[in-house]
Amino acid sequence: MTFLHPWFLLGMTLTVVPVLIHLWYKRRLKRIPFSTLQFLKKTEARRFGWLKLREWLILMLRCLLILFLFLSLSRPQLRSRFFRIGELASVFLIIDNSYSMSYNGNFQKMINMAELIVSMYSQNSEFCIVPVCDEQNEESFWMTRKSVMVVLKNIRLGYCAGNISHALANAPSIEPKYQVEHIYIGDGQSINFKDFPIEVTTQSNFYWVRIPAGSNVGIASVTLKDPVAVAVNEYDLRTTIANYSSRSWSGKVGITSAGYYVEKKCDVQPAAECEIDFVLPSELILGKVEIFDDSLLVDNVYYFSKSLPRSISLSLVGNNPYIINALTSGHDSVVPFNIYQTSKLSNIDLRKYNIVILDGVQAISEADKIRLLNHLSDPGSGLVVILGDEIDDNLRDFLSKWCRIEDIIVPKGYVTIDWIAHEHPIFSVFGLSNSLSDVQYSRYVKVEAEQGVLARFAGGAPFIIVRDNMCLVTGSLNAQSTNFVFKSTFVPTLLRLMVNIVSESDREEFYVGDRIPRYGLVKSPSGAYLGADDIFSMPGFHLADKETICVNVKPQEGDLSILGQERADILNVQQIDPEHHLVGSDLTNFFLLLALVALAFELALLLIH
Amino acid sequence: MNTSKKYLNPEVLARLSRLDIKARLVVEGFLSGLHTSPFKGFSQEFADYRQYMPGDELKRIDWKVFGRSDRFYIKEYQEETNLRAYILLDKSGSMGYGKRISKLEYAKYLGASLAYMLFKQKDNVGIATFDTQIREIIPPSARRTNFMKILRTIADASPGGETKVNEVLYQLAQKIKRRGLVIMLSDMFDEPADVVKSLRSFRYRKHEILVFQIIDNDERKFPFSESAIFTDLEDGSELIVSPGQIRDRYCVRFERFLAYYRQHLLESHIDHTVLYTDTPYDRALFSYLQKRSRLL
Repeated sequence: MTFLHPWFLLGMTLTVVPVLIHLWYKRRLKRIPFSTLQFLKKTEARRFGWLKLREWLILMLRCLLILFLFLSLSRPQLRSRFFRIGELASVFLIIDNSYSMSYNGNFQKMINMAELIVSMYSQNSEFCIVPVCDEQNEESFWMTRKSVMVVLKNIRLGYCAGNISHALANAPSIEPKYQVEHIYIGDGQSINFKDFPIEVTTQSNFYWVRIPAGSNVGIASVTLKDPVAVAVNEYDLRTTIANYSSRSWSGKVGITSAGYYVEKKCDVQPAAECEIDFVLPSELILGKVEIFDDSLLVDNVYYFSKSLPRSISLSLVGNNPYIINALTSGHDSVVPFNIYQTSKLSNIDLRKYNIVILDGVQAISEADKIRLLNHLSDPGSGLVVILGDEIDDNLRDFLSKWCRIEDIIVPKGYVTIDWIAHEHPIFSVFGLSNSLSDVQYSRYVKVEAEQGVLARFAGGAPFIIVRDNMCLVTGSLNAQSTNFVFKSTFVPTLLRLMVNIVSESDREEFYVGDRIPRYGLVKSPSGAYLGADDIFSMPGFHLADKETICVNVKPQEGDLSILGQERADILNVQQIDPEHHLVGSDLTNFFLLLALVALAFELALLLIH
Repeated sequence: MNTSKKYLNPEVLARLSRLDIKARLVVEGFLSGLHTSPFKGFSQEFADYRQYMPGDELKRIDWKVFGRSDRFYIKEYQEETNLRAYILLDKSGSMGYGKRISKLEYAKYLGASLAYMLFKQKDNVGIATFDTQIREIIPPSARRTNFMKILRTIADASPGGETKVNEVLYQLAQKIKRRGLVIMLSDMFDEPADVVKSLRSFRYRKHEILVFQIIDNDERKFPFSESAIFTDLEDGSELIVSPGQIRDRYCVRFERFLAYYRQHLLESHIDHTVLYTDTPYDRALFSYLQKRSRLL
């Protein structure tokens, strides 16, 4: 057993006070010599036995009262079987200050827990505070117990998801003096343990002091419902509400935009999502979506800025009728495209068009290559390359930034598309159905790409690659190569592809933790100015020159699914339930209770004659 | 109060110094209060003539004198008996209790007075002092030297030790072979049943027994008010007592104690007199004389 305030143990010497008072009282009593006590003893034989016992009991209880009281004040702690309590250790205290810890006062609980744990170690132990959401600096490395207490008080809640691996990797490396222990205090979301460095648990003990995560409903995304079907005066904003808890949630979702306010009811089943569409006037492009009422507040607000492509000018190099038909308004659809068709790239002034489509272009000149690169450097412009049968070196070289072109594949029979990125805005309209699975290709270009693949052929070869404002389609969009052009999924896919690569709204999704891209000074909601090398540190509307930047928390942090026992065992992470393993080891209240019991018994005995 | 009679008051007597004087004063004070002497008339040695008074027994008229003088005279004799009396004086610690006069002092004066009275009547008187056992014993004798020894023994008795009346009585019963009068001066603070049993053993040996149970009024009424540590004068044990809380129960138990002796000693034909330390001695002496008259 250890004591947090051992100097109070000196007070236990005061237990002699009742004994002295007892002796003094006995001396103070008059002594009367009497002939015989036999009648007194016989008269009250049982009573005198009880009185004597009572007298000793009261004396004992008074001594115990003082003993327990000072024991309680000295804050005795049972030695925990988990930590090197009372011993010298070099302790990495990994503090989960991610915003999920704002749930139900969990953050303060965690800080209190950290203080308790620190106070349980030997006085000369050294500590390093590693917040999962803040940068670590050398000054706060290997601190004394006293310094750690000060640092803990200054830790603030972050808006990031928080990752242990990242936090430990960023911690300065200074040789520890004693045996190392890692103690993570937090709700242990799965995301916190993403890419967890297993070597940490093999070289030292890794404890997870578990703060119970609560339920949470968060705004998973706010997107234009259909960026293609653009209405003249209004547009649809789709809000996806995710319920991460095991209970169903019923509440309200409201949207506020320049004095405009609408709210809708929402019911979400456990571990499910629901979508709510708001129809907004076209001129309202800035606002916020809020959920009422949910316990985890941080992800209950989403700041949006959606600028709609009212009219997209499009230049098609080639004469593919399927593409032209798909991008032209029909009887029952209105699309925002103005198509200009040409046979040669060199014939057109790229600055006039938002999107350039190279359909089956086999070769480009050096000058075209430069022009295309210039075109792509404008964030409001986009390029769609649909590969044909032949690809010259210039084009191959131009595309090498996105992928490596290999061979033209002509399979026996055909090949189908077996994977699409359902969550991407291009394909999200199809939901989770295998909407492109029956698309067949009799020939395509095999490429290798490391990023941005949104659809693949059976066998893994990329079909559609989208990176920034560049899109590459590896199979021709004509009837000779595929039946895709006859499928119902063709038009929506193509339209969304076009809109997506020029949509500013998608590019303006900024999150806390992102680096500020190209703006000058940015004024954060707190009034602080951020430079080009800074990162967004809090959600809200940020002002950059005349632009408003919406910054939100990453929606995945709102997912409170925690690391399971099985996974924790694999990672060799020892879970500690503070209710039973940590708080329960504090005997302060136990001894205080004993003192009160002693006092109660003493009062009872005093009342009994 | 008559000068002699005032010495029957124990407190007055206590102020005097010599025990023999105390004894004489008690006895004389007592005798002067009697209308007729119960001592005369039964001895063999002639003392004097006196005129017949109505009420005298006719058998006591000296008819020879009547023949000579034609008057009725009654012949009086010096009393002369062979009564052997033993005074048993309890000098245990409990007898040392008393505020103005201790029980032992009271017993000592009473014992001396009884001895003096017996000596005056030419009875053989002896004494034994005891606590847990017999401390001193003087065999009965009618001689003056013996009486002086008795007085010295009484004077030297000081309180101490516990009371074991029944054991002492058993020991004495072994020692006293010839039947006689046993006068016991004690508070009898021992197990009553055992004491009564041992006194009965005296009765079986044809002894006459006269028990003077000497009690202090504090023992009977327990008049203390404040909580205090009561110390046993015999074994030194201590007890913290709040008298107000237990007085009633104590008094009941004490009365039961006295009643036990009263009842069981009466049943055993043993004279039992409770004397409080403020009781004048005449009551004790009267009891003695009544007893003696029955014996002769």
